Amino acid sequence: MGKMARFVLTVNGERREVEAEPDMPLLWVLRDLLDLTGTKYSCGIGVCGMCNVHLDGELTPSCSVPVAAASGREVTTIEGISPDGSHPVQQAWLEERVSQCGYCQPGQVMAAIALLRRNPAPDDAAIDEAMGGTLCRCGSYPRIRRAIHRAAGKVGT
Amino acid sequence: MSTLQNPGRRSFMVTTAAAGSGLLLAFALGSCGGASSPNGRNGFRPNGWLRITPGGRIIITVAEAEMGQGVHTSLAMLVAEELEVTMEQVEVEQAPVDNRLYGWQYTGGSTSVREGWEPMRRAGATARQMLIEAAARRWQVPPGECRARLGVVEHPASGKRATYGELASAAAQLDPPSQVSLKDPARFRLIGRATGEVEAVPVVTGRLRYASDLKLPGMLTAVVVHCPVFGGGVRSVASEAALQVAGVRRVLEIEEGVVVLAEHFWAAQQGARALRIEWDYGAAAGLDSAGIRKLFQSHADRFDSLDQELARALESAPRRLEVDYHIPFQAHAVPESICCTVHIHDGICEVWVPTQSPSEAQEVAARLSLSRPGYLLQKLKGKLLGRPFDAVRIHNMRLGGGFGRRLEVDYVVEAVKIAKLAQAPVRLLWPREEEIQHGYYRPASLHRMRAGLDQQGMPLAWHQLAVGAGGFRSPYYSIPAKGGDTLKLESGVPTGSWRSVGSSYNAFVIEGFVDELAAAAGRDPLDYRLALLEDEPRFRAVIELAAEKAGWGGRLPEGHHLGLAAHPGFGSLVAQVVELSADRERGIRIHRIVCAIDCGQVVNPDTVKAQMEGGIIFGLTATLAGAITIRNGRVEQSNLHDFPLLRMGEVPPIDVYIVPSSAPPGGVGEPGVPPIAPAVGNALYAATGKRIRELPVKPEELFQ
Repeated sequence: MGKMARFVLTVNGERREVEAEPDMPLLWVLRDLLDLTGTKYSCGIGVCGMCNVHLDGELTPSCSVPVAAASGREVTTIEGISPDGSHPVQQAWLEERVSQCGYCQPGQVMAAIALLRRNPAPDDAAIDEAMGGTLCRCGSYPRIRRAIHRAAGKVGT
Repeated sequence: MSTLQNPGRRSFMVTTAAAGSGLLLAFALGSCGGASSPNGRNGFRPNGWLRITPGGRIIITVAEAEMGQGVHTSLAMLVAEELEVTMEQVEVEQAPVDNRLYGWQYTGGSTSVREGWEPMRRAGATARQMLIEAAARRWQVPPGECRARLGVVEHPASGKRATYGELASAAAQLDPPSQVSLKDPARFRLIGRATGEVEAVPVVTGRLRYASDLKLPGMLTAVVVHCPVFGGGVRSVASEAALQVAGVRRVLEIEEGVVVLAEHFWAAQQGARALRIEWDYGAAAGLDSAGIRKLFQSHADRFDSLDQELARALESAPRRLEVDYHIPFQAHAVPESICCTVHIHDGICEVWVPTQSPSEAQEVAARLSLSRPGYLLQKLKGKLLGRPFDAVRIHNMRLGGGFGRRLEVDYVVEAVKIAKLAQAPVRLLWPREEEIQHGYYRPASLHRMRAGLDQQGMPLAWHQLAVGAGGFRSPYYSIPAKGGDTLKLESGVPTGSWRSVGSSYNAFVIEGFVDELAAAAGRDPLDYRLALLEDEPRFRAVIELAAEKAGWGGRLPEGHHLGLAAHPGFGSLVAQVVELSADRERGIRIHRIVCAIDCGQVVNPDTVKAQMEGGIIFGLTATLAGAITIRNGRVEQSNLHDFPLLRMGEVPPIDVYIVPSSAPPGGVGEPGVPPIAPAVGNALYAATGKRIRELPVKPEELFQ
């Protein structure tokens, strides 16, 4: 355990300062210190992807990033995607009626956006590969796949 | 158009808070609205509300909890259909917990739409008729000349029109009609049409607040460390190191374990890890999965109370089969881990909790938070005066997964106890490890299956001895002598409801065994089942549809094989066919799953499909991915790395077909689960010649 320290992050384009132990995971900094609760806790060990964020644009499970490692970097959470669901990936999610309990969906949307920025028109194999780290207990996978195809080509890099 | 009486017990009552405040209709849903009469109003106990404000807002209050099964949407569709409004014009509200108003609230058993089908439509139709009546009186025209459309009552002859909001307060002054006319299904605009979920935008934007997202002023986060061995307790705790963790406030003991209270979850979890606890492991310390299996086996071996007639039928059959099936424990792995937030203030206990059992949550919260006389007084007021537990407020939040785990209220018990001791608002949130290791598991069980066949291989007698499970199920196939017995044994592992409950194992053993009988008879498994369902045309049609869509009996790609299973339950009939290939080199590869369902009248076909897909994936995960095993009295798995869930790439295409039907609606939340495990098992038999009588499937054993 380290000593409390001050860290500066850029979260959804805003400069945020937090006081935390250096090993406090970014997930809990977001949820419990900054009240950005769209990023969800589920496994805490980097297996389920429900806490996915973009760190300097890269898909990252925020439970596995100490705040010290996120310091000075750009963090994008689900709240930074669009406040009204107007992002093409969110629109595709609504059109394909993807969500059931909905708890994993912020993490799924973050994973899908990261994929589509890298690969604007992924095939099924590329989708499976990229989305394999984000779990859904309700079983919305077939719809997630369809939604990603629907959003293909609509996400800027 | 069908006309229904508004009978006394189920009649609608109109209540208005104050003159000019709009229309408020209360209505009773299925078995929830009981005949008992705590408030003395004609035995009427509503469990839903429809409110139309003078400003034109239409608010539907639903007592059922939303956990992804789409129930808020489906129930709102029923009201909106008859009220002649669009889904965009209605708001859906989660009802508060109030046994007086809503009866004993509970969401499970795939019952909500089955019970709401008629009352919810009747509520919409009643409001529609009252609004039309109010308009007709205002315009002094016959009501029959008016019509309701998209939130407006119109009188086409004169061109007069008034919005529902403008008419609501006048409608509230009228007596509710003694007869209501429900729409002809041919005129349905919403029912039967794919409809998006009402809360979908807050979900995809992350704005939807689940209980674990709430933050109250001065709130502390609690993590409980339970004794790793079931039934064990704390001997001593050394908490110095935990209290050194920045942000940790207190360490407490409750009966259920050791509690770390901290400013945020991370500090609480770090504190919990720093605790040094000496446990009293208790009697279960020697428990393990192999021992539990032996226990089940020895009880099965000693079982000697088979019904004599059935025993004779089995023994006199020309051919006999007897095999054992084994079912493992399964965890729920609800995506939002176990949580409950409690704030006791001003003589009130406020609880924010995602639960399938809000009434039970209220009961335990009252028992634990109030003084003994205070609790008894609340009970008395409830019994005699029909007052709710007004000292306990349950805010039933949307569930981040339920699957039966949230029928239990252990987390409410813990959170209330902790909040009382902490004298602060407390958010209890279990680390995933606690959720996996301290669940109420789908019970492990053994099923000794016995059958006697005639010369042609058709069954004369069937018996299922279910050991350790909740209960056997008599097969739905036509067999002259059939039955079963249940030996309920306490293994020492806590068990509970797991999506589809008894059907999750009974379908596996019935559909696996009937497939074995077909093979013993040398018959096609589809033909064999159909021959045993001659008097069940509706069920046959479902099975035939699934088989036809899967290409049963046709040419398949090289190395591909099909397996079939069907199961009736929760008011619906489901059949599934799995297409897979299996070989030593590449293992098991599932290429496609076809599902057919007859769930009667469909309310939201998109929800039916989503629930079939989700149920299949849930069941497939338990078939292929993993299970809960016990060693030294504790669960061996601890998180999603060793209790894995299927990933997107492991899930094949799933095609769902719905049989059109005008029968009353059946459930859909659970019936997708049961057939998938036996369908996979039967397809693996077709591919390898080896029977799958144990879950999960172990490829290493399959290809030995």
